[in-house]
Amino acid sequence: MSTLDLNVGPQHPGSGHMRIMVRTDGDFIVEATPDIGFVHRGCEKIAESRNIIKNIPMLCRPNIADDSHLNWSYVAPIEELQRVEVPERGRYIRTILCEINRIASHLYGMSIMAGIFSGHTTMYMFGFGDRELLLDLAEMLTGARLTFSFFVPGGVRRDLPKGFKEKLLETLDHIERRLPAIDRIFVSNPVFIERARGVGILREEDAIRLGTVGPVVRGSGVRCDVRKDAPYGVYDKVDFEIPTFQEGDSLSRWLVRFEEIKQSISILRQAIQDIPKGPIARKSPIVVPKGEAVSRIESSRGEINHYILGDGSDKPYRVKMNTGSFKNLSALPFLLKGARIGDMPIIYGSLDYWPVEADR
Amino acid sequence: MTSKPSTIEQDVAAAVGEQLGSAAQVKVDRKGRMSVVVLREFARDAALGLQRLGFDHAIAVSGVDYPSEKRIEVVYFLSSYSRDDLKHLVLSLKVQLDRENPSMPTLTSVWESANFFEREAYEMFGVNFEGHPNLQKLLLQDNWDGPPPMRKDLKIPELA
Amino acid sequence: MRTTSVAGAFWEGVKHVFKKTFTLKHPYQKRELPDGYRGRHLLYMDRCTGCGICAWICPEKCITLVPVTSEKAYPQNPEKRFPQYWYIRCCFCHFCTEYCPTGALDYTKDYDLAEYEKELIIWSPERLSRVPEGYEGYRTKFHGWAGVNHVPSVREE
Repeated sequence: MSTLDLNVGPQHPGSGHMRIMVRTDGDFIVEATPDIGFVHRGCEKIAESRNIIKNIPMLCRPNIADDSHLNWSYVAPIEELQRVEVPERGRYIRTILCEINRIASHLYGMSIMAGIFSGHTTMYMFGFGDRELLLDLAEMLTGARLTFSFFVPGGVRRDLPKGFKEKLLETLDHIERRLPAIDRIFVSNPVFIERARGVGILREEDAIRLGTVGPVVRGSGVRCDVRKDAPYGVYDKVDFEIPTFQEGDSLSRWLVRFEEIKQSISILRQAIQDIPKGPIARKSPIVVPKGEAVSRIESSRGEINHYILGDGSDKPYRVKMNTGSFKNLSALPFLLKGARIGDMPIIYGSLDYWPVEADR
Repeated sequence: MTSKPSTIEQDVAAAVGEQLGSAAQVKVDRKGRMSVVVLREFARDAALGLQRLGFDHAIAVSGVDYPSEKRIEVVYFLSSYSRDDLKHLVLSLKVQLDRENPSMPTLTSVWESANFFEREAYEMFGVNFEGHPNLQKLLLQDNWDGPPPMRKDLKIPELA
Repeated sequence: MRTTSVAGAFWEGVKHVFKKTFTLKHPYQKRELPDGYRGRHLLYMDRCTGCGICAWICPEKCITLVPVTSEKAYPQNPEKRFPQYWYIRCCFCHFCTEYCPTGALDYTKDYDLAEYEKELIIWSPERLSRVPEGYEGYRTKFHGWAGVNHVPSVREE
């Protein structure tokens, strides 16, 4: 059989900042190889030459749509090595900002897959319009819309401003009213269901074998979420569920994100109700004691780990970052094999791969 | 003082000690974190043993360069999908390699997710994984001909 | 999961023709920025001692301390060294503002900093100390002075 080699290049709406080299036989994909590294900046090497506070804005930039999770994952091992405990109110504020960020990031991911990749610009506008309200909330708390750099070792940088609680509850009510509209126009729309149902099926045993994390593995029926397995912050004090779906296709992965937005709204309502008074940060020196520590944080694309080795100076000896997108990358060549060319954007969008986070 | 019931970390440490004996040094740091240090020759046996115990999720692979001690360490971080009592645990499997010629058998056949992770360790530290299905550069550009970047020999200029 | 017809989805979209839009016609209508917005910095030359902590903590190394030639004497800063900002490198993290031990830096709502000439991007200390229109003093009003290690003296809202 004669095959055609197609280069879905780095400047292409269907691939993000990475290249997928696709070999096709007619309409079916025989083999797909991802070629990443176009946005590799050497974050880990740069981090060894700056002190731990100077690293914070740089190490948050790899995923600007989901910045607070990367930030928390970086400061948690430093706090463990320094034996500094974040006070209660600081942990509540961290959780509140992280959940606001999770809803914003899921709206982004859902809009890209159902909006850009399948040709419905309406969903793109719906998702990004509602996301603006969440970014306004974050701006009120931290001062910046996207790149917060809000957590430092020992706590957070600012306290909740006046009027934050009312604005938060108002925004959550608005988003709750918009979710049925998204449901009517997309989730129950036969055109979109035809496009995404049964496409890119990842069975449970394959998901475990390839080591996927986040909504990708929860859409295949595995209940795996760091917020329940190894709770951090205040996730052991609030009531929430982990949505899973059994079918394992692209629509299930999209629906996992849709349901997670509802769970995040419930977490935010409980957290803002129960937040105690008190200090928001403890003093912490700018030094990394000798030792090593690993962190595990559940971001919107999967589990993030930071491994920090200290040698007693103010600069870390080694910083290793591993993000959810890099772990899910091994699912991409597996899912594309045997699929049609027209299904490629839908499969790629359902993995919610963020190239900068994978390349660092 | 009555003895406390043994925690899951201590059970795992005992099981590893039984299987590998003196080839592995096991250490429990705290609840949810422990480490196993092995030499290159026992890396594959340790990996298969840990997989039988229930560690089926390789969450990350990192290399660390210790030029003063003349060794490179490759650390595999393991956790579990299937066993509920091991889900909160992160076990670091540290393989010690010689810095002049770092080379070890690949563990892709044990944990398939380690495929891309080992490729990154290969290009960043120069570690050769014997038997890897596709050992090529992943993140660096194709015409990079300098030393492996993450080793301490390569110094980057300070921002002026 | 119930399935509606295509007509139901279509009607949901058409309903939006009759609703108010989200659009803000910038630059004729500007957004209302919250207090504490991380814009350009404001320097109080009466409080700066020239210690250089802002230059040390800056992640992008965009702050340098330069001597100021002016007649006025600054008793707290005998060498008359003040910070100068190179805004093309600044990432607006405002760690400098938080780590300043005397509270000589503050947040403003100026974000429109683009220039046509490269030299104008470097803001001298005198230019930084010009108070913008409508400035109300975020730090004095809300947070007091934060010492080194940034633990702020918070006033309960």
